[in-house]
Amino acid sequence: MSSEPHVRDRQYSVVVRTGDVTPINHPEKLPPIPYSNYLPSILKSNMGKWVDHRMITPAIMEHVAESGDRVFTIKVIGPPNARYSADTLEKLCDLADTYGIGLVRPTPQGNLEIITDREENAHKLEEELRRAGFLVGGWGNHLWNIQPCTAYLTCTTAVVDAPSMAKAIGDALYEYVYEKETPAHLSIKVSGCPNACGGAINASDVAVVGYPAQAPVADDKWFSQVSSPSDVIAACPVGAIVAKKDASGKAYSVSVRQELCVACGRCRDTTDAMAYDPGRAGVMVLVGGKASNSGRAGQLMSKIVVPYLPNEPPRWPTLVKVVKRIVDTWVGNAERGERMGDWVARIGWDRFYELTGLPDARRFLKFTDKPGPLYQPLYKRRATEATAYLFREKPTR
Amino acid sequence: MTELPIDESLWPSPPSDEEAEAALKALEEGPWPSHVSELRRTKYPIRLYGMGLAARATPWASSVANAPGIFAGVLSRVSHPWTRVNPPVFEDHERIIIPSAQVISTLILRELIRVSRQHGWGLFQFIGGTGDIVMNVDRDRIVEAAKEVRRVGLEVGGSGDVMRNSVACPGPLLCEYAIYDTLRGRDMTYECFVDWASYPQFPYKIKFKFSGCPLDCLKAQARADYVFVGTWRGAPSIDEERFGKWVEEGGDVEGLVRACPTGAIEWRGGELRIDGDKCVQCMECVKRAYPAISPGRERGIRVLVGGTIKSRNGPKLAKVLIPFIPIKDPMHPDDEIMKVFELLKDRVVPKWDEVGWRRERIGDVAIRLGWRRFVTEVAGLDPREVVREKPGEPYYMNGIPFFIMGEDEKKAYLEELRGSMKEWG
Repeated sequence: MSSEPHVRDRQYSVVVRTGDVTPINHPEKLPPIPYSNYLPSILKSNMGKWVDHRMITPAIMEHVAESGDRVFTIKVIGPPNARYSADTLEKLCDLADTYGIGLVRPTPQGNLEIITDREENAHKLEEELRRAGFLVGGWGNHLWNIQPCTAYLTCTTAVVDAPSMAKAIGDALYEYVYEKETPAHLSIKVSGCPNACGGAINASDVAVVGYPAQAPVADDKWFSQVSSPSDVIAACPVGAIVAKKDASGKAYSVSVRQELCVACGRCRDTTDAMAYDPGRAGVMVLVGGKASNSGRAGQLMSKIVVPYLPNEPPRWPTLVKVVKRIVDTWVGNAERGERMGDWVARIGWDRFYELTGLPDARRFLKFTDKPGPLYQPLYKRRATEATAYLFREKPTR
Repeated sequence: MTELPIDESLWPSPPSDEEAEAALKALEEGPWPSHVSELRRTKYPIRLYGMGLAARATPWASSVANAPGIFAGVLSRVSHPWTRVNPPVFEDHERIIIPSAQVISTLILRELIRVSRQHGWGLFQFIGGTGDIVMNVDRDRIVEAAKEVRRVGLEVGGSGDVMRNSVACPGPLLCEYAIYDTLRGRDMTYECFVDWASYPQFPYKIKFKFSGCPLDCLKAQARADYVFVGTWRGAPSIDEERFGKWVEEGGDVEGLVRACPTGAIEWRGGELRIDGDKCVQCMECVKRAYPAISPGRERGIRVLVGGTIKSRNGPKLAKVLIPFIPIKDPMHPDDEIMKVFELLKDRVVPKWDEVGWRRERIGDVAIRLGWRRFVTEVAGLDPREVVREKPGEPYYMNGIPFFIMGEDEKKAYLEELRGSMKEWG
């Protein structure tokens, strides 16, 4: 323990804009205050001069600068959808002031990082945070976080609920945050609909995406009050939506051609007056994407490995079992430093299905990897339409 | 009872309070942090969320709030008619654009907490996909809250068909791999295009993202329309002295050579050689032996276009538009980034505005026109410079297609899955 007093860095302050800031008088966005105003001198003087980093515990990352300055970052895993109440944030602010340099860094993954400049403070902070009931960890080869979209918390277009999925999966994979190590970093994204606000489903290790798995039905009674038929028709990428007209020829609603619909949910984005049957909606699981140029395979797109799982909020038993199975298999079989996508690229998809014991999804997926039919030449589009019509789902009723 | 505006046969019937409460209770158990217990500490109408969970449908519908002068940044919701909540509950939130580095001093955060308690629900969503803090506010206090946010040097914005908040990775602030100053790049974009950020005027949203190195922790290539990734040309630079030390300290040279995906690294007679022509900038050797091996001396920026998820054609990765712009001073890449901005400002974005269909992002236009045509007509570049396949260059793929599974197929799949699940134990 060093005995010199700890002088806290207090050079940054709140920048106050004076004068009239009423939006109606100044509708143009105000340019941001330069980021350097918000930085304490220990970060400002070492900008671009970092030479090393080291993981001290799964919750603490140390950065070393050329000058010998050291900075410690403690990661707090946020609740699903990064929802923080003012009370919780105040508690974190108090801790950041007491032990840190009065700086927090929210990350795109939904975590909150507290920065400090002394190692003993970092350890104390970790202890304090744990005592206050926060989940800490997630640096290096661990589960970084599970990032869901907002879904039923505020979203109008969500098909299934994402934060509850994240919570349920998190409870099952909780050990990978701190106690157990994974072969490489693992980030899981959860989205309530194919729009995937939960994060890059095309480039994440495991992605769970809710989807309607059915053609939507327009609510004729409500439709004209909240939307215009032409907008909804234009939103459809496959041209499956046609207008419903009344006797005078005025469009009052739309109908969806079941045989063409691909259930992308874009009409539901445009208007609230499209309804799904929640019993038929479900989730799919994608695996093995990454945006990083690392590994043997470079960037990879995620692939669908589970085409359909039932819609079972709030605890999602089937989904949790499947995701845990995939992650456990990867942890047990991959080499060190191999991300999910690299691992699958090495062993191949046949072996992946063999190891995980999942039914081979390729037998159930019937689509081409070409873009939507509207972008295809006309003869192909006609062929697609004809095939879709021939193999359409027969109405059960 | 007043008649509902919706066709009741299509929407779920509202669940009882007990059912809603049971669904919420189930989410408060377990070791993972719970959003429900967090929301209970605020004024959020948690019962509505419980109803949504029990009925398996979203309890929110779109709404519009009166926020004079704020054209982007305020989103409003109202409880869905099927919930029969009377009077309806309103949910309004503001997106707050925070400094580039996404580093916030507790002083500012405490200010935001005060504003949120005074004018809102005491609830935040920290950093969504757009890189903003979302703060819930009361419907009649939207403008007051926005004024207070503006006072402390932040700004409300980033929703609708505008240029959204652009996001940078921490870059030189905390990371040793950063090739250029991503934070500066982000600050510059936002300042140059304040007009784009203020008024909705495009077919769909625009997103800029700045990644410091090819590792792309930000997943910029998968999430943004215009992506700036730091990269270099040729071989990574090797510091012989440090490398010798690294080997002495027990560095695994064999592993390093084996890890190279293209076999560019050679270890012969105690000397390390990296073939610059074979190097694909995967950062594998840099990660293992930094600072003995660091990104090469000839540094620059690679510009990619059209990686989006929410768009007409579904998810896709971005494609390289400008393979390499050399930068002189990595910490001040102003001139180089400005040059790209001019191209975007004068050609690409106006052209997209002109030819783009409604709700079509730049990546979709590239698919619709074809990449070669996109490069010549929209970007006005020479395709020979751009359209070439180089190993390791981020490639472009059409996304995960959407599909519908028939009910029989679903049943068959789930049956097979349950069969194998029994063996998992």
